[in-house]
This record gives sequence, structure tokens and C-alpha cells, in this order.
Amino acid sequence: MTLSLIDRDGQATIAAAEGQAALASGDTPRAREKFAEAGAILEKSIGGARRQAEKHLLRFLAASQYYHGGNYRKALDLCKKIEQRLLPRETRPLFPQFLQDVRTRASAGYESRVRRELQEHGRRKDHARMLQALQEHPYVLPPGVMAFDRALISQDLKNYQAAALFFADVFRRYPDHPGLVFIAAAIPQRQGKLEEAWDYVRHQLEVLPHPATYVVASLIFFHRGSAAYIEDGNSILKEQVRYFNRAGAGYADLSAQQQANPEMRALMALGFEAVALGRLRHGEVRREEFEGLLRRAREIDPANGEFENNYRLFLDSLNSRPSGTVIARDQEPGRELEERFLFDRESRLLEVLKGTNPVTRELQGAGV
Amino acid sequence: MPNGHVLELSSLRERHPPIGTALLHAFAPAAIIRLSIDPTPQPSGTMSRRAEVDWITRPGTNPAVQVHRDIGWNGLKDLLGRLCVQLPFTVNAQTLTEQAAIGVMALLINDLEGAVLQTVLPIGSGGDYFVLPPRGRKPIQMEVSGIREDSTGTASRARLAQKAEQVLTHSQAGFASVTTFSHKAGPIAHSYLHYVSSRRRKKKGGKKGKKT
Repeated sequence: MTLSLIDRDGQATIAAAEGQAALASGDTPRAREKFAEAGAILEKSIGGARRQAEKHLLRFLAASQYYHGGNYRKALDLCKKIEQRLLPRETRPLFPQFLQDVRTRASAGYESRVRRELQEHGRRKDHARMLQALQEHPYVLPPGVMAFDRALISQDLKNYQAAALFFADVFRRYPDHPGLVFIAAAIPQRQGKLEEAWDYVRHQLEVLPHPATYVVASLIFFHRGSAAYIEDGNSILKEQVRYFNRAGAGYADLSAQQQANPEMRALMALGFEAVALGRLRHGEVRREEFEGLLRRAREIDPANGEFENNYRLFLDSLNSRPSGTVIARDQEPGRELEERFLFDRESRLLEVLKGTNPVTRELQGAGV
Repeated sequence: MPNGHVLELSSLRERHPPIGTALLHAFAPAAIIRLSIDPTPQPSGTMSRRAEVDWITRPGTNPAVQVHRDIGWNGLKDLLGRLCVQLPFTVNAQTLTEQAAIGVMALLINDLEGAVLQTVLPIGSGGDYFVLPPRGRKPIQMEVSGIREDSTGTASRARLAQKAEQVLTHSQAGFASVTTFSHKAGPIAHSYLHYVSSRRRKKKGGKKGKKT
């Protein structure tokens, strides 16, 4: 057999390797495309092969690429033309299992079976089996949904670097939903695990330096400020303001369409409120400045009707404390109120964002 | 090459033109994980890992010699760092080990034998690969396998025997390569790179199971 005729210029290897790398990063559309390219190159070369063993090996190799690219029908069509006895001896033992796997995946009920399986693993929070099922059946779920699932599992396993990477993939697939960044970091934050939340956001900033991420970073610092005494609180407040300023600068650089995105506006407004409350909490704020920040929040998110109430609630608090007073946390009555206020605001925003979460919608559409 | 010579994974590009870049993207991340993170985490900042290579060169008539090579991943953090974090979630552990073994083999076969890979294609639905060296000459059959952890060395030897057998079922000679990433609980990795030939087997009295 003249094996040197197979993939002589390495083009099939290159395409398959690119497919494999795409699969490894969860980019299944690209994996499909590259494996299909590898399969087509090999299939095309069948005509140039003279010996039967080489023809059948090329078919087997081409079918394998289609299989790895999720094109099970095409793999099956090729398999029908392969005679096991004519394959080179070393590859014969691989063929029966391959044929069985191809038939299973090309069958009508395959995707729904896998979805049910995934649903069951998700219900049981069986992360190991869920990951394994996603690895073995990478083409059943839409890529954004699969990245979302992997991000949630990484979060549960406290691997925030991986979670941030998978969420960055999710966001790349749904760029009109910057609120996803907030949903992601909210899980540890809502559980009061602020250091974990910060660990997560720190990784998010590395892989997704978007204004939404900076808003979320500033919110984490607001909550960290609640947990600290005033001595640390001042430096924490500075960090909150610094991250929010980065968010503001990033927001200014967004296109008009991106600036008008309701989720982005809601996040920015929340960030303005959090800075106002952070300053108020630390006795740093003047009345005009506090009002100015809330006015900016109202301007950026005019659809939100909550701001009028916020004014009334906090002007009383503002009027009752002398500017620049340094009071320890336990002695300050307003501190708990501000924390609870922002927590509730975030809760309401989260509910809204969950309602518009594109992953949830796509999951429902996929029957998962 | 002297013992301890560093074989950089980034050099796959130059070692195996024109498929080297593809090899780098497809197999180097797995090799970095298996060499530096799992199963034997290396101290932060470590950029290479030593591998003991049990090597039988062509024509396979001489006994195995032990050489050492350091496998390095310098300059790849930016290129492959993200993939290294995601891979354990997206690729199953066994496939990851096999991919890592191919990455190591690609360095060793070039460094020790001067061979250049022509084709590395997945075949079948499992973790098997169709590997074809060298370019421009008569192809040599190659069987590659990886083992994540082998505390006694028994599994590695058994896998080598199995791979050598597979080479010789359809070919008179070829390479069997088995890389173990945690070997006999020692700090260094271990690779077998054996040229096996049926001719040598007959000379030795045709003992079954002793092919190397």
C-alpha cells in the first residue's frame, strides 16, 4: 500500500488539527467547518488511489473527520461504501465500533436522547457526568448554551478562571446581552462570598475587559466596602470609583447602538447609584454630588422608575449625617440600609436579566 | 544531542513543516497540561519537564538506551494559555492524555530519529490517530499511546508491548511510542520510543511478546 499518497501535502491534517483545537475551545461551528474540510480533502483523494486498501482507508479517514465534525449522516453514507475486510489490517479492528457509533448518532432520536441525558445530569448536579456527556456529544447543544453550562460547572467547582473564559465565550455569542456578565458574577456575590466573587471578576476583567465587567467589578467593591470598617472602607471606595470610572470610559467608547442597549444602560445606572451610595456611606459626599450621581443614573436609564423613590429615601439619610464624619460600621445606622438597598436593586435587575437571558431562551428552544 | 537538551513544544512548527503549526495547536496544549498541571503539578514558573526516554533506534538491533530530554513550553502561554484552562472541561481525560503523548512523540521522533511527520489524523470514533512519518520517504508505521499515571511502570511496559504488536501485525517494522506522565511516582515523565521490526524478532528466536 502506498500510504505516502495519503494527505501528501498535510492539508487534511492541518484542517483536522484546527477542528480539534476549535472543539477544545468549544467553538463547534468552526470545528464542524474544519473537520468537514479535512473529510472533503480525503474524500477527494480517493479517486487518485489505485489499491483497494488505500481507497477504503481514505474513506474510513474521511468518514472519521465527518464524524468528529458532527456530520454523522455524511459519515454514515461513506461507511456504507467501506468494506472492513479491505481495510489495512491495523485499522480493521477500529471499524465495527466506529460504524456502530455513526449509526447511533445518525439515528433520528439521537439528539433528543442526549438532551434528556443532559437534563438529568443537570437536575442531579452531576458535574462529572454532565461534562463527560458534553465532551462526548459536543454538537447537540448550541455552542453558547454549552459554554454557559461549562461556565456554571466551573463556577460550582470554584475554577473561576475557567468560568470566566467560558462566560467570555457565552458573551461573544450573545454580544447584545452585556447583562450576562452581571448574572455570572452574581452567583457567588449573592451568597455573600465576596472574595470568590472578586476572584471571578478579576479573571473576567482579564478575558473580557468590557464596560459591563468594570461595572460589576465596582459593584463587588461596593459590597466589600460594606463588610469593612471605615479605615479600609476608604481605600475600597477608591477602588469602586476607579473601576466605575473605567466602566464610564469604556461606555463612552461604545457605539451609539451599544450605548443604547437597555442591559448596558441598566448596569451603568446601577453603577452610578452604587458610587453615590458608597460615597454616602463613607461620609465623603456632598449633597450636590450625591444628587448629581443619581441624576446621571436617571439620565442613562430613563425607563427605570425607581430613582424618584431613591432620592427621597437617601436625602433623609444624607441630611442626618455631618460631612466627613468617620464612624465605625457598627455605629452607623445608614450603612446597613444602603447595603440592603443596593442588594434589592441588584435583585430586581437580576430578575429582569434572567427573563431576557438568551441562553435560557435557546435552552427552551432546544428542548433542554 | 546531549542529555537534558530542551525540546520546546513551540519548535513543532519548524520540526514538522508543513503540519507543525497544526500539531502545535492540536497537541501542545494537552502536552502542557499533562507535563505541568495534571497529574504532577509543577511549581509556578516552571517552563520545562524532564523526560527519561527509553530509546531503540533504527534498525532496532541494538538494546535500548536511556536518554533524557527536557520538554519545554516557553513562549506558549499567550498562545495556548486559555486553551490549557478550558481543555480539561472540553476534552475527556483519556483523549487528552493521548493528545499529549502525540505532542511528546512529535518532538522525540524528530530530535532522536530526524523523522518529520506527514500525517496525524483522527481515525475511528475513539482516541486513535493515523500517524505517518516520514515525509518523502517510504512510510513507517507508528503507534502512539499515552498513560496519565503508572506508579509501577507495569502498565507502560504492557502498553508498549501492545503497541509494538500492533505495528508488527501489518508491517515489517515501525515505531511504538508510549509516554507516561507520572511514572513510578518519580518527578520525571517517561517515554518509550522503540523501533520494532519482525526481522529482529525472528533473529531472537521468534519469542512471542518480546518485540523490542
